[in-house]
Amino acid sequence: MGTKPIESICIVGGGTAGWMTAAAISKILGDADVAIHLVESDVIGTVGVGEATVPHIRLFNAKLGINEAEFMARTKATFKLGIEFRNWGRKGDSYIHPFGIFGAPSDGVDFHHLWTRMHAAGLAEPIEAYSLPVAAARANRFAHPNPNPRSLLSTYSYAFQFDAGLYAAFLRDLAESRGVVRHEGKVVDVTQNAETGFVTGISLDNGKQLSADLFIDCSGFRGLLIEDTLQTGYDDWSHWLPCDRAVAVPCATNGPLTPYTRATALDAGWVWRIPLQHRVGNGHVYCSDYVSDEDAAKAVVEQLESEPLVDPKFLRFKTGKRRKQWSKNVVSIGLSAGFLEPLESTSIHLIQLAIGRLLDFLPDQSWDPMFSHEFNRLMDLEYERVRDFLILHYNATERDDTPFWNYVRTMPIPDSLTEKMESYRERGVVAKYRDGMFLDASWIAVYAGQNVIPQNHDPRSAHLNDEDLARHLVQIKTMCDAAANSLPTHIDYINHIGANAN
Amino acid sequence: MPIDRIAIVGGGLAGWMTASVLSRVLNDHQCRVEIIGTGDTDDSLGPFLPALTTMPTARQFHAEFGYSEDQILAKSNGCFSLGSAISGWTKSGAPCFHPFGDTGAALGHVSFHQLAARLRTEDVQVNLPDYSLAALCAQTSRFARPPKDCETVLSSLDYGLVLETAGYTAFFKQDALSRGVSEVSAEMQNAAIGDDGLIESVTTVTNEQIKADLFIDCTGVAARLISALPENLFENWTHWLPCDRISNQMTPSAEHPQPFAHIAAHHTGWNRFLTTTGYLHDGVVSKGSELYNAIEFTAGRRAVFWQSNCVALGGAAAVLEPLSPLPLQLLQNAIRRLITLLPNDRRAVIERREFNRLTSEELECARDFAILPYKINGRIGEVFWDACRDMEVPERLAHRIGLYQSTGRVALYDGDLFEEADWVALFDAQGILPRRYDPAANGIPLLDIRDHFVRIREIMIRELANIPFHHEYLKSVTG
Ligand SMILES: Cc1cc2nc3c(=O)[nH]c(=O)nc-3n(C[C@H](O)[C@H](O)[C@H](O)COP(=O)(O)OP(=O)(O)OC[C@H]3O[C@@H](n4cnc5c(N)ncnc54)[C@H](O)[C@@H]3O)c2cc1C
Repeated sequence: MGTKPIESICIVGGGTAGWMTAAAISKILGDADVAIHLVESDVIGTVGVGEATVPHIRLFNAKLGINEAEFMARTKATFKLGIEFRNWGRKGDSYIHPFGIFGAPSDGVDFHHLWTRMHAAGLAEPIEAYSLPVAAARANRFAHPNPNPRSLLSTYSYAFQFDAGLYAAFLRDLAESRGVVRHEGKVVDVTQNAETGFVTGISLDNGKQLSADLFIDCSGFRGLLIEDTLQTGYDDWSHWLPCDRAVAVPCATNGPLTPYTRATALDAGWVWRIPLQHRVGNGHVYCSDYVSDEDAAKAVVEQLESEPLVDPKFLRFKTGKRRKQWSKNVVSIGLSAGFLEPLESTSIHLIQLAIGRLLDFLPDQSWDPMFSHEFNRLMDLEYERVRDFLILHYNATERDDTPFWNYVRTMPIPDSLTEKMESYRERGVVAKYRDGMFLDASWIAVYAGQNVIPQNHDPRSAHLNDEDLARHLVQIKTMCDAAANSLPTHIDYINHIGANAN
Repeated sequence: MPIDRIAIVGGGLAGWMTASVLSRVLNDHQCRVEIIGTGDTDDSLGPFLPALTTMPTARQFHAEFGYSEDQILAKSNGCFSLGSAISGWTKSGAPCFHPFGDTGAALGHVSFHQLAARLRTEDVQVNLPDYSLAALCAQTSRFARPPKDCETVLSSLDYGLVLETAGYTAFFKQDALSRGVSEVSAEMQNAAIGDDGLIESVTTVTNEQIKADLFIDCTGVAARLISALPENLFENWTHWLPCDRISNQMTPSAEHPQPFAHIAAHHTGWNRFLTTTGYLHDGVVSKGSELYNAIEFTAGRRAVFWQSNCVALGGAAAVLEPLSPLPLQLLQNAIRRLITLLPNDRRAVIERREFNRLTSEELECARDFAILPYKINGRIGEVFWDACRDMEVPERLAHRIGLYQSTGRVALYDGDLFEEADWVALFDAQGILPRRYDPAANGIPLLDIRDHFVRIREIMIRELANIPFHHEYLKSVTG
């Protein structure tokens, strides 16, 4: 090897981001000679409300060698088949964005074109009627996908909803067992190399001093190293995603255990409902220009299914992204790198991506700028593509009942999104890209769920006649319903596989 | 107004392949497909070549539209291809093999070439193709299609095809005609363009007028139809892809065809040797030198591929390295893209924009892949090759090269046709070594890595004995 490897890594922050990073790096680097330290402060605490995930988390867990049932029991996790969106396109609407596709193509024509045509003729049900994971979600049923690719029951994916604090603790055990050294204390001082500006060390309030070759900033919104020290700058996206606060309040479960997250739009934001084994996480993400903290808290408490378990907890944020997520010898991961509201449960996934990329480009002592350059290029792309997908939810609406909805419905949106929406509206074209976590089916779910219907469809479907197509649709729906109903209930399944806590 | 007449201008491989696919997917429609052109010299993919190779992806194309690979092979005197032997590109000139399919296997979380890089720092000589089943098969002239869904080492095998252009074209022509495509066997004379800028009709030299809603220009390098539309300039790429002359010789041969191509650099370009059943094909590209029977060409692209109601495919859209499988693959991808974006009206505003965006992205990625072997050549002291090494390459390619040298990783973009492993194979074969390897490779004991390499090679060599000889297998499927 022509260059000297780094010998020490210091992770600042012990939230979800910090412990995910520590666990993954210590595992992937195996017996390589790299010392890993992590600093966290009980005084500062974590955000800890990240509870809903996307299917990619399973790859992350698998890489760490985590047993699924054990992980679920320890984090009181439930299965997740998708997200139900209420009141988004119009008040009273409901659709599920599932982890799976809709229908099946016919003669090489994608299903959504067939559906568009039948919908226009008044001969189709809402698109979600043709999705197995939606049928299962609505019936509160779940089982693992069937490994046989020919089975209809193989055509969906799943993620988890879990207690983020417990997940961090679980990962902490793993990381510590692999030699990661944890330090409790608050960072009070940071030293830099006078010439290069590289961070050389940190001092804690208990007098302890730590130095390292590479620093990973997982300190949350503030960005202790990436911003306070290196002043990297922030791209503010709040003109596109204006929500800037949240108030979280858990309650006890009242009713069946649902295998999905819910996002209900309110007057100036939306509330999440995330079912865990032992409680339901709730929170209101809102825009402070349009509603006061007090009213926002009232709005979420009013619609709880049971008494709040603790007092509401308020959080503030600014949507956007650090201008350089990796600058000098500091890589920011988690909330320190940027914030995109949890509407599609993307934050933990972005943490996971950043860790993967950091491992791909783990620097050496040459500090060749190529490493950070490529890392930043890839992360910027992911953040921008998630951003566009989130904006779609707000912009593709007919709601005009509050000033907030009037703003997001009429605001200028990024050109990249304008083009995508135009292509879909006019011809049902879902723009294709190599990178970006949301695939065609996700875009179609939101378009169709929020009443964006293509004016034209694939002309190749023209030769199919209405009766044949109608039969095709009914057949798919019947098969989805039957397959969904063959599954056990969500709670029974969790117990059956031994994933229940206690 | 719906599209109910499509006219394809150009009766070569690109034209007939497009006609055949359209007639298959538009099967029961009222849409009429016509093809205008003669069967004269076919330069629809670029300068004419009597034989071509495909990437493995061509097989997906065949399967997707229901073409039988066995029939294609039989009709075009074809054979299977496991990759390319390459020689003369490095300083030593030593030959190497660039296989299709996987090379080696990851160990834990560390990919094979990263493990190899670690071994090399321990002074172990590692030749990556030694761990490719395709390369081993090519060395021993063996071949069998890998079974579907298999979990043995056979699943690492992948393959393309070697085909004679005339037979391959005839295959599509026969299919298209049997499905009702009508043929006007005459050269195009001119096109009538309406006030709205849309093409209304084309007229042939025999004075026949063909009207259509959508026109497809498959006239190759001449780009006869799309160049009739205003302001669609041809962007010249010869500063990046310097070869501008091509010639080809086809000699009868009684030898069994070989399941690979041989790509050999010479002092002002390169040769491609191929074999089909009955012939040896020796193609040469070069810059400016005296070649026997040479055809001149200019690498580059059309600024816009789909303009008003005219779509340029194949050589009419771009001319890229005629001896490589890239032009065919780009054509097949463009046909597939056109199918999914078939317009509902002649103006096709949305379809056009998306088609041009995707095609452009893909073409630029393919171009960069084509430039790479010139840029990283090791033939020091030869004017042509020294200039290639010194040339300024497109920014993204420069980034890819720099990134690979620094990190051993490959930057991938939306339009990429190739995966990381393909780029690595090319870099590695031309002696470009990254300055570092994946530090996670240090987390695995050296002995385990060595064992892993020995085991892979053993398994492959054992498997090799069960694989039939290529010519026997070929005979068994083509009859
Ligand atoms: C309202 C809301 C809802 C969300 N919902 C979801 C969701 O459903 N799904 C999802 O994937 N994500 C969600 N997220 C995002 C998710 O919570 C975060 O991405 C995740 O928790 C990671 O946070 P973090 O570790 O970066 O930061 P934090 O949790 O803020 O952790 C910061 C750490 O840094 C330490 N620290 C800070 N300063 C110092 C200092 N000076 N000295 C020492 N230590 C210090 C703290 O002690 C703490 O350990 C949500 C976020 C919000 C705001």
